Amino acid sequence: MGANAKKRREAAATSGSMSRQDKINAAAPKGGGGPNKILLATIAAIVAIAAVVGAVIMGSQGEKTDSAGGSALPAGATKMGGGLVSNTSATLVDKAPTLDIYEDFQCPACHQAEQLLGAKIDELAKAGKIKLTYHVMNFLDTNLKNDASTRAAKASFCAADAGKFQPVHDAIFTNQPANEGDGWTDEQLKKFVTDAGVDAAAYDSCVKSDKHAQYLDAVQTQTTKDGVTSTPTFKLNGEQMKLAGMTPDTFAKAIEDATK
Amino acid sequence: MSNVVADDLEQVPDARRDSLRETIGLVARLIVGVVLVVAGALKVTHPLDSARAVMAYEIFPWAVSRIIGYALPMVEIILGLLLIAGLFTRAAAVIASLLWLAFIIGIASAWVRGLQIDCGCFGGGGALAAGESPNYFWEEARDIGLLLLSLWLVRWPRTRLSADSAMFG
Repeated sequence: MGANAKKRREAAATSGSMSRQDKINAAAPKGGGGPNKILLATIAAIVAIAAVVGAVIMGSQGEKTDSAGGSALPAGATKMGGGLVSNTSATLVDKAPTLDIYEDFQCPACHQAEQLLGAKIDELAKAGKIKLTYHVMNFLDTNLKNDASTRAAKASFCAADAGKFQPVHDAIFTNQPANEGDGWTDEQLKKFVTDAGVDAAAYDSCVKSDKHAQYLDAVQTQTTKDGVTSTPTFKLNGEQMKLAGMTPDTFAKAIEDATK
Repeated sequence: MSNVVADDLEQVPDARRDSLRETIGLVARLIVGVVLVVAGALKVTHPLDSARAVMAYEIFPWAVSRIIGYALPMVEIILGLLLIAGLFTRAAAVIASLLWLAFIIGIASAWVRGLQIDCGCFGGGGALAAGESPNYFWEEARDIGLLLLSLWLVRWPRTRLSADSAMFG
């Protein structure tokens, strides 16, 4: 039985190799001018490498502020991609810590954090107990397939130029739509800004000029580089705060501890 | 006893066995290829988001993450197109297998470290919002399935309706 099987296996192997040889023979004559596999593979590899390198170059170009809009910094921001200080008018106490807040206006978790801590943050900022710095991001536009984060961010920057970033920021979050992705209309945004006391004509011309477009892009890029992968992110003197379980009191305590 | 089984296998005509293999290969090629093209196409227009998704794994610094984030969608599209066409099937399947392996390790590492992230496999990505929980189990199961299909193609790259067989016989 063993010998039988062996014989059969040999037969199978022979016929297998023969059929392959047959195929090679059959292919050879008619494939005289056929495609050269090595040449084709080389071309394919070169095209593939070029495409990948191209994608990396395009991506790197995208990091630069290539937005069509203007390159003005909103009041409170000192450099492209940097945060916007909302309480520049407050006199900071000695050794006041810097609180960096990374937010996207469409982020529901940011809304929750604002509802919980917003009043306390405003109070501390007005008293000069923190240097309150906002990094307004717009990455959720991609996820939600709209442009509401971008429009809201630009509205808040136009308000910043009139010294009204904080109230407009607060109004945008207070009026965040219940359904994530519904966004705000241009009229709603304008109302938040004018209600805060900004001149309507000044706001209109600011929006029309799109002067802060590159700043917004730069903030989004810089925060990504800094490893901020989620919003809200709170950093106290550069150190990320654990927001889970935070209350206004424990938050105030953390600020106090960082002041020493 | 095992010989009986072996004998039975050998009695299956070569042509029929090859034909079954080539059909399975075609299905494997199309599944892996379409998944790769879709995953790549959803990310390729948003390179910065793709780079942020890589950053969320907290494995690579920005300098490395950005290259991976920018290059990966294009690599996925090219590999996917090659597999769909059945061109250079074995080479494409080898690279695809390495990709799945890298994804499986990356997601496993996020899982064991307790990170709360979206894999970013089909765009999006980054940390999850409060109240969302990761889908690591299904992401891993999917990638392991795709790895097995790709390994099949590495082992048996001859497939039905492929550019390889049309062009090179």
